[in-house]
Amino acid sequence: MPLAILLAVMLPVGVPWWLVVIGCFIMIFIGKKLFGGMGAYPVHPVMLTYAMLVISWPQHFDNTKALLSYNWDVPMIDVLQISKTYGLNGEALFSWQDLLMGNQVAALGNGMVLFIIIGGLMLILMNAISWHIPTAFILGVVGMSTILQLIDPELSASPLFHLLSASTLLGAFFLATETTTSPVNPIPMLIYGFFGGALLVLLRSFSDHIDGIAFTILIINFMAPLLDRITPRICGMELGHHA
Amino acid sequence: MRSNPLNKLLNKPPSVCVSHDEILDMPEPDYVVLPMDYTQRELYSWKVAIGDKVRQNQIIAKNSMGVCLHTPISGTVFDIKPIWSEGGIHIPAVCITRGEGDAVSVDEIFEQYGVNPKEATVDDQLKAMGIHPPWLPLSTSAVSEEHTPEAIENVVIVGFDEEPEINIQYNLLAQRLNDVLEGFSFLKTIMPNATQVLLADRNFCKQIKDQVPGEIQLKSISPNYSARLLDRNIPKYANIRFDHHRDYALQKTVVISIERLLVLTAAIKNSQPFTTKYLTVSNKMPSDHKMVLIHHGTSIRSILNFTEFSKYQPESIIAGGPMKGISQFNNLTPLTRSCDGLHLLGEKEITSGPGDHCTNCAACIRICPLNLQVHLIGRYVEFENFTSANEYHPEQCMECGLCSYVCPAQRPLVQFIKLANQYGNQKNEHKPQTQCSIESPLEEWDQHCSSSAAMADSPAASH
Repeated sequence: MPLAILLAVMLPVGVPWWLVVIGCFIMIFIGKKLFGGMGAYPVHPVMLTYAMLVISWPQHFDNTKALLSYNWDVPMIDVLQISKTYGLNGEALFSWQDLLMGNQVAALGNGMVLFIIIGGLMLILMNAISWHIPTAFILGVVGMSTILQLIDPELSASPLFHLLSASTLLGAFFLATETTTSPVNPIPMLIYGFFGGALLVLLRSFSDHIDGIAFTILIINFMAPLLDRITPRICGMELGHHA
Repeated sequence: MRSNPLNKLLNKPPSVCVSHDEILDMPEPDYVVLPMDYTQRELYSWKVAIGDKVRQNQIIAKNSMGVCLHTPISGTVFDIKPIWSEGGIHIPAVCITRGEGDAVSVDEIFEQYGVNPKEATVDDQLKAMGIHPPWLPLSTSAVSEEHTPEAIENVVIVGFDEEPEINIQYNLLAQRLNDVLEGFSFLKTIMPNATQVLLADRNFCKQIKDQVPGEIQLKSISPNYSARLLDRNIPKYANIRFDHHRDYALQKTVVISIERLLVLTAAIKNSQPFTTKYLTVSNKMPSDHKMVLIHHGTSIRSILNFTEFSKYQPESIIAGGPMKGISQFNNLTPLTRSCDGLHLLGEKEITSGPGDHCTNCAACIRICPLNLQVHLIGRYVEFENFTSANEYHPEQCMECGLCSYVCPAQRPLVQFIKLANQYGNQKNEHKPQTQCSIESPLEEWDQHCSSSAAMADSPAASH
């Protein structure tokens, strides 16, 4: 997958140029080449870069501040920031149509939910990724946010809001499915995706970071090789002659 | 789309579905070369010497099971030398140049075989005509008295070709349906206890549904390649639990193709030795195919000249079809009964080099009919860790070639798996059944000749 485009899509509007240069350096040399290049990196290079940049320069990763001088018809505050602070009350400020059409304060491209869905479906139809990871990821998000809402309806956002806000679907379709760092067998893919979705909602709700997508993907990437030990049964082995 | 040409090739019905090919009858070649390893499991020992005059249909070799090998033409034994067979095995072969002489009569064949034709059993008849009785196991040591035609429970006749671009069975079924049905009723008399299943292409099934009698179960096969993989799908159609690594005969099943059915019927009814073979010759770019009936042992070059395929000037010739076939190192290799087709590739269609790095894209795993962890085996073998590679059971691979075909990095995955089998089995207790049992013929050969020059260098091959 094109790493540079994914990084660009994740960066906020008006980010300084030197941050992009440093990000690309980290992505190519540390994230990719040091581990052996194509097909050998253990975690998604874009997520590694994003995580390092967010931790190092948090002041440049404030979407609300970056879009201060713009005025659209929607509240000009990062959607996740609102939901984190006000829960269900904050969610009421947005309609799901606005979120779907990309009328939300987010980074350069990760808020364009409708187009991300179109792109993701195209990837599945073109057989470039399998349906397992995105489906399980979305199920994980919906499941975990439903549980949280049942526990504390005042401070938790609805499943639909979690699904349509910020990087959720970008993660489901483009980041979690990165081939080198994700499992290859069907059952591991389902576990991997579901765990990723659930972890994303937990990080959003309980961590200090506004959006936990980078850390979610990093953590599930480390799970992938272990999960891949669950392999399907080999045909022709059922009679036990070669076991 | 990632593998567009691939999807086209794998999902498209065999190209003949639109028209019935004319079968070209190839005249007798100037010389034939008969390798002594027809089934690639049993070696034949030859009964002729250099300089002998032989007549058409004369028995020139026999294997330990007693199955005979006939010369398809009359002439002189020019040489006996090791060659590279089309299966990639270096094996002794008998070269016969064409000369005068009539065909041997049926009685003489049985006399050479050593049985009175009136007392011959079905087994004897088949063996004398050069056909391995399908109800007998392939290895001599496994044969016992239980293996009779009466004990067979399932007969599966394969009316389609496994490989894309090959269309022998389809054409035979379309053009000689009456002979095929006759063969079915004949098989019923030999194997009365067996249920008969005919597998045919989905489109073709509709056409012949009315003509096939009720006792034959007609099963339709979808036209894509993975549905046509025999090893995997025969158990499904025959409704038996099956181990595709074991001999079919040991599991009371007979699986033969339409072509073999016709040959078998002709051998018993008309006492006709098995010396000819149908072949599909196809070219990839531009797409072209022809069907031809050859004599065993005809060289690839004469076939290409006869069918006028030499005009494409192929860079690579693949014997056996595009997926499972083996690329030939020169065009003088003789073709025998195990080869169903020739596929020609031009310079542009050949990919070379070791391929790119594996990106874990799982295309190989999704397409593998056996659910093998192909990418891991490939990676382990790439770094020469054969012990780890063998933990993922590469010995189960049936070398269908789908993984190499879909790999976007164009990695030679089948070759990796073969390497894993080759170097890993030294520790494994389980040995693959395909190992060639090399016995007396090679020792005999060492006395004759110390050079390993291929047939290509001999004067017989170059005229």
